[in-house]
Amino acid sequence: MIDWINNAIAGLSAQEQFALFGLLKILVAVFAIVLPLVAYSVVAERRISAWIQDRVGPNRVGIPFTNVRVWGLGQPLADGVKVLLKEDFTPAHVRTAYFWLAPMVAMVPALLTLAVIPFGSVLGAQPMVMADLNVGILYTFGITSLSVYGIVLAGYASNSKYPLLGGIRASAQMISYEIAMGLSVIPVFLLVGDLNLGQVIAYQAGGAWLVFKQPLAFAIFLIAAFAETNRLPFDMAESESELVGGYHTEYSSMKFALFFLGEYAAMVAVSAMMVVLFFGGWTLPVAGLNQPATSLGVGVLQIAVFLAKVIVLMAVFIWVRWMLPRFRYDQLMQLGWKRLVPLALANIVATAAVLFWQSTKS
Amino acid sequence: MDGHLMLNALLPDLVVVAGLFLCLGADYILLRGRDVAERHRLISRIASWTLICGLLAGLLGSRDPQLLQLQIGDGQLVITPVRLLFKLTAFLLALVVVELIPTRPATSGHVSEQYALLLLSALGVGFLATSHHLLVSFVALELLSLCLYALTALDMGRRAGAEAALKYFAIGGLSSAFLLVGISYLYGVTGQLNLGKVSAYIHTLQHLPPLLGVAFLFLLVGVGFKLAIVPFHLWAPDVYQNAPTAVAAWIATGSKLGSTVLLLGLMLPGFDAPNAYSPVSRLLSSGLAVLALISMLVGNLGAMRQGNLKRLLAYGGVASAGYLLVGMVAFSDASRVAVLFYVLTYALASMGAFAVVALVSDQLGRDAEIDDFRGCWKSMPGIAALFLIFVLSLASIPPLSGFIGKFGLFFAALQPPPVPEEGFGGWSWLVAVALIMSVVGLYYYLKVLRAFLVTGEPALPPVRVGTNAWVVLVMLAVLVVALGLWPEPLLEWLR
Amino acid sequence: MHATLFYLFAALALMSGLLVAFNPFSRNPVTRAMFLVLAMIALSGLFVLLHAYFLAAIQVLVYAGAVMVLFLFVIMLMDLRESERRRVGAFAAVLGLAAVSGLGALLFGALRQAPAGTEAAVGSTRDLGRLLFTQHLFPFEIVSVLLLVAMVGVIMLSQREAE
Repeated sequence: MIDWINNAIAGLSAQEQFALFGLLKILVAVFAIVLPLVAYSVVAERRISAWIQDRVGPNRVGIPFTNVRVWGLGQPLADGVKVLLKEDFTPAHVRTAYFWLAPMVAMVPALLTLAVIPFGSVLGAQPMVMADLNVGILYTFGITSLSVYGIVLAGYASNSKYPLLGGIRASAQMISYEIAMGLSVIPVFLLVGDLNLGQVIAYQAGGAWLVFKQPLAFAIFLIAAFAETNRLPFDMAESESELVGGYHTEYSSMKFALFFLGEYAAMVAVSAMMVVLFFGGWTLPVAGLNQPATSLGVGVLQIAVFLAKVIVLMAVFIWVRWMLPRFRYDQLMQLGWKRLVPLALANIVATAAVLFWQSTKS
Repeated sequence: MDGHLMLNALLPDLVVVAGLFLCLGADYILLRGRDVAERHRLISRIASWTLICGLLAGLLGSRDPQLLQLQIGDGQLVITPVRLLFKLTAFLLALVVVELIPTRPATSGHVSEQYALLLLSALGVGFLATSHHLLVSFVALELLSLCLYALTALDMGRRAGAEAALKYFAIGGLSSAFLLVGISYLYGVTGQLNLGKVSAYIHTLQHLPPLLGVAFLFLLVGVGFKLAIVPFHLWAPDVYQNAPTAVAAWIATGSKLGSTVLLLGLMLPGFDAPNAYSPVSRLLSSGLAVLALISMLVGNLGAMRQGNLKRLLAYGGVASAGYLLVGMVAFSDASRVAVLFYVLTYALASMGAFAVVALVSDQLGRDAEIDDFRGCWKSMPGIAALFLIFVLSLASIPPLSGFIGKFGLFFAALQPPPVPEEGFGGWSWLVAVALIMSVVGLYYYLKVLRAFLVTGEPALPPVRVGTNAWVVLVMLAVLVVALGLWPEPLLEWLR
Repeated sequence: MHATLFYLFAALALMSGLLVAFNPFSRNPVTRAMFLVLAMIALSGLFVLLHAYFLAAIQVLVYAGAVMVLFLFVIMLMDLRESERRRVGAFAAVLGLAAVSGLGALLFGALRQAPAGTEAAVGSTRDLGRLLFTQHLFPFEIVSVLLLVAMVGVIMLSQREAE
């Protein structure tokens, strides 16, 4: 069987192989990894929030049509069926085209971002990254900057007060924090000397993780990541106590679910980026896991290491959401422009100065 | 790139940058919450001293022979006597504008920003004057233009001011787009950004590719907007009328100086040295002649119908752009000197005229209708006498510098062509039209003077004019007269 | 493949550019802004085909991701309604049409005679940065002054009264 596959693959041209494996990686990464991760992070969110608030949380749904409850792990199925079967209501006053466009735009950028994330070293001869761009980080920032359109368009399309306010807030907030986020990673690239994410991991494999070398950069990136994903304490666009539900007030059923899932997919994406940039990606400084895999088993293990790191960061996102109250809008802007941006700039200058000093010394 | 030499060469600009931060810093930190008039007093003092220091730094630099023939970064920063002269003239004109900015609190609570933008735009003109490189010229032009857009809207209380600023901004943005497209085509054809190398490359071509023509067309449109050449002049009257007068004065002079340098750099192969025949002239001279013709017609005939003094000066500016092009069409060395001389003298006289308008009408909150100046002679004889000098120079009456300038332009256009078989040069018909139009120009400028000097009782109470304003006005008038009586040194310098 | 993609992106850029300027189906400012976003993204695709990855990423990041979001922000904040169908005078229409078609014909003719460019440009981030900070340092610094102008201008225009 394996031989047959190997022979069949060897018969293909390089381009065809690239296309085949590219497609395979996309399908597996999106449908087998990211979407389940998204679905279960919703459950995790509910269970963790319940735990924090000393409640039980959803623990009933198990395997369908049986009485087996696996700690409520069947919940995503029930949720999925629920959102699909609910009436997809389109209010009369909305701008229809944008009303339909917005949920799609909300979901797509988060998935696109994953294309450049190296989620493992190699499996066989295939590098475990969908597109090994030499400007990987800029690509992710470019795509992330598009994600704001989903929210802004939703606010505009709904054609009513609260969604509009939510959309306007989101656009200002996300642009502001994009700057802080972009500035915060520049020291990382000053150290690494490359914009390729694979190189960033290789650099960390040779020394300490960048979170230890650049703690300030990581702190700024993390804070900005909360704002970019519109999570509490920065969920000004939703802000259910002031704006009803913000940009998705008028949405129901699957369209609402797309926004919902888009938020979690963005969380996955930004966590994956943080893992790559600051936590050494798929590497682990034990048992030779720092080097690219030589066997299939190690390759799978490294993917698992990567996923584990992502899940830990997702847990941090969820944990913070239930621990901190929401910022006021002006406080949010103050924090972004008057604290994070100057700090990030200072960090760049300091890092550059240290690097310059080191280069003159040697 | 020699860093030390570059810093030396940029010393005037660095002084201005330091000064503008001083303006902003003093206003934001020291003078917080103070009275607007008091802030104006201090900040304008800082701004004018900044410009004076910049001028002195430039003059000191001009004593260093090494600095006077500087070429840095492929023509990005070129300093020659002529270019330095233009840069320092821009600083001088900005110094005049500083004295003209109204210190009344009524217009705006923003004090230091006005002076900062003025200084920044002076930097822009300076960079334009010292650049022979398309990229730097474009960026410098944007630096200048953005300041002007913002300054035009200074008086936010007036709807007309905001409207004019918006118009200026939209049209200016369009013209920048044209310039940029032209620059990229020019770069695409020649592979060079240095204007000297661009024309050297064009010289080597057997026949000119059509794309080159398109590039120059776009560039001409872009610069045409900035210089208010017809048919790209539509913004000028509204902006001149509705911008604060000090800003209008700066648009009419500083912006014109910078754009003219850019135009000359584009059209003539050598900006600084005597140069022979330019190959692009084959493409452009007839087009330029048409633009010159319609600019003169529209400018002069339009100015005749104006009752508002600032609008009239705007149309006068359009007409002067037309005269400028008359000088350009010959593409000879004589036309280079003539254009440079003319634009300098025009800037001085125009600044003087605007200065009088600013001092008299703005202080009284009038809209500068010609009738408002009725009988100024009786209430303010000194001001009226100075105004007489400036307007007569604009109308190019013989002993004044405006006459010499225009004479040079027409003379350049009449000269036989440098390459006889090409069949251009000797634009006698154009000069004939220009002469007729100059007579028309005389008519409307005299109409203004008649209001000032002859007609009836004074419409305005006398205005108190500060010492500084007197100093700059007299200085401008002396320059206008002196350059008319004694133009040889300047002409020699320009050659 | 390369040529197909080029024509695809070029057509997309042109079509969306046209739809920004005159869209026969909608006069909604948001629609126009969104087509501008699409045009920017198509342009970024063209940059990718030229192997100028840095410019492509920056094109999306700056224009599509930041500038156009601010456009939308302003449109939404000012609650711009669909613009009225304006009457264009016959004279202006004829003149405008003549100018546009003349310019178009000129460009078309000129570009048809122009030699084809080289296919791949070198646009690595490192080269770009090096060029920017050595050969073009001076214009780069002027641009930083330009940003100062933007800042001061915005402060002056947006805040009505200081106190």
